[in-house]
Amino acid sequence: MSYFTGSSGSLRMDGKDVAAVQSWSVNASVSLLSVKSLAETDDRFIAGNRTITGSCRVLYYQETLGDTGSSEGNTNASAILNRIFKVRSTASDAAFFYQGGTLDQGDDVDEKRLTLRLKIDDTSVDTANPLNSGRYIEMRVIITNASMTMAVGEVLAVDITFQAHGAPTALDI
Amino acid sequence: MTFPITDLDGNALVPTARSFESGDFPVKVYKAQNGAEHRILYGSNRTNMKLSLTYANIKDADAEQFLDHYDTVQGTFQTFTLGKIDDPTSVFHDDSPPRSGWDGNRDALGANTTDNSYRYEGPPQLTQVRRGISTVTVNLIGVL
Repeated sequence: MSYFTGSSGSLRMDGKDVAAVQSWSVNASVSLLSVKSLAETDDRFIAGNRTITGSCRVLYYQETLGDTGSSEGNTNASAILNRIFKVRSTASDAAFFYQGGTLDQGDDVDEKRLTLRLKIDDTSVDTANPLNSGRYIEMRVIITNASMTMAVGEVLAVDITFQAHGAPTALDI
Repeated sequence: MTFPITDLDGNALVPTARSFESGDFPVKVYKAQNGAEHRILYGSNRTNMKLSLTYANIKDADAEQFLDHYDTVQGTFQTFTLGKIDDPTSVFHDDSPPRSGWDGNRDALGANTTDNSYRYEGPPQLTQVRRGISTVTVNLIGVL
């Protein structure tokens, strides 16, 4: 019998490992629609819709001093922050007339979503596709919140919450 | 086509919410200059009762029955009764599902005991809840 701890967890964003992930969590909930009619005493339900949300905490670090980009093929906290914090656009586009910036979070232009894979490394190996090793939930998400707090005596970290767009795109859990 | 009282699986179609106004007798009220009120009763039957039935989160196919029935009775034109379930094996046997859950006198919510029949007061209101599931509200009015 095997149990897993935080050392078995990892997170991939748009195909790249996210470095220095301290925690991740995922939550799936199903809303209910009541079908209890008059004359009945006990609630009866059918499933309404499913919502998947999650969060993660990523430590903020620089591989080398001043390096805020991706390092060693990984995605770091800075790269995640840049998915949601956007500088105002200078384009003479009516959409940005009011000092707005893009809402794109994906790798591509006009891509509002990104792909997150929450992984549990159970040492299983997919020889045909090593990237699919371990257990995982992969989904298209939109980051709904990112917060970071600088405080004396604490390591700077970024807290991210996200919500899935549709059902998971890949699942092996 | 009778008013829908069973779903397409044969189960009783019981509303999830119901409201009822008992109507009134045809009374004309005259007020004299001195303030005295004179009332003239023009008929012996109470009428104009209003019954609103909501069927929340039912299958689209069952919701469609109400739309079909509304069409069958030519909208607000023809009258109809709510009907009963005749199946002796059903727990709703000899009962009218639209009145189910009401423990008072069954006739109190009906229209036909006062020689009234129901007709649609307006078109059924349908709200899609999710794929395949809808909520329907029908408003009926008793007429002589």
